[in-house]
Amino acid sequence: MRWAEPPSIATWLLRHFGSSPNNNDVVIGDLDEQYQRGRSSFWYWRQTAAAIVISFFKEVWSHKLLTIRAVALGWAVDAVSRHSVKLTWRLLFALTTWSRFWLHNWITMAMVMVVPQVFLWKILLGWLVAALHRRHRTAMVLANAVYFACFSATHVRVLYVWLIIHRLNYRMDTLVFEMVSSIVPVAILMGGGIFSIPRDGNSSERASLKA
Amino acid sequence: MTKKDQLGNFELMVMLALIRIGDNAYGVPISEELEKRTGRDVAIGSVYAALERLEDKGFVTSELGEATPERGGRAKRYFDVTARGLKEVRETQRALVKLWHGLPELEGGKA
Repeated sequence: MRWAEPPSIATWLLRHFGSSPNNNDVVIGDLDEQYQRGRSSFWYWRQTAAAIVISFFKEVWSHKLLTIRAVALGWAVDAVSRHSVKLTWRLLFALTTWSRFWLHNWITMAMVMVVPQVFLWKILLGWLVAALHRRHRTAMVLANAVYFACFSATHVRVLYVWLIIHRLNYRMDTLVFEMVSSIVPVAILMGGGIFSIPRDGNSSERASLKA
Repeated sequence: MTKKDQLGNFELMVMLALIRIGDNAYGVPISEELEKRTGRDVAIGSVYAALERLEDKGFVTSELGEATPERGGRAKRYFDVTARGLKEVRETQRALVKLWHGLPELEGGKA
């Protein structure tokens, strides 16, 4: 039988974001088998999305205490990172009073000093959560990414409301804040190894079987 | 018996599909059986979530099978009902039949 390649992005998403520690590869196999029997790409995508969401919530629900611990760990790292970013921010403002050059380039400096720092802290957060929850790594890292994505999004909206209430214009620092907020979940996922860990143990064997 | 050891609605359906299929029960035939019998579209993810819960409860055992080309070289996971699982299905059936019995609204397909 000729092998029909299933939607590769959907397979990639399920391979990396599927939270079931034992059955992730088996689910992909089942979907591939049904796809070879004539199921549509739309069906494959729908099943993939459902499998990712269901496996995530199943893992979180089955390991509530572990999830609370993982998010609390994220909170602790986040608290330390906030302190560190605050210090950098203060240093930045000290520089603006010290030199006219910094005064005109403080946004650039913020980009150079604050954004990478936030990014690195979140990578560390993801790595720590993954290292301490090896068996349920995907679910725990995803739980932190989802939590901090929601937290950051709420934070940005509160900031907008605050600007509207005080009749202030949309400023560049809000743009910086928004950018930082948007990279937070990506950095956590990167640190947690969601994008990079080769979870496809027997890919060469599979390639020969496909051929 | 604690609530944790009881069978949920979907879990019961999965158990019945497993019993019906017998050997060779893995994700694809189980979901096909459920779709055929219930007439609803079934998400493979929800079937595996139910099977994992059933395995945790000791109602089902599983083992990895062979990898085939049509699965992209990925292995199947075969599931089997345990004696405890079978006993639980019987008890659930007994309880449901008792609840069903004597309800005129549900007799003769009038409801």
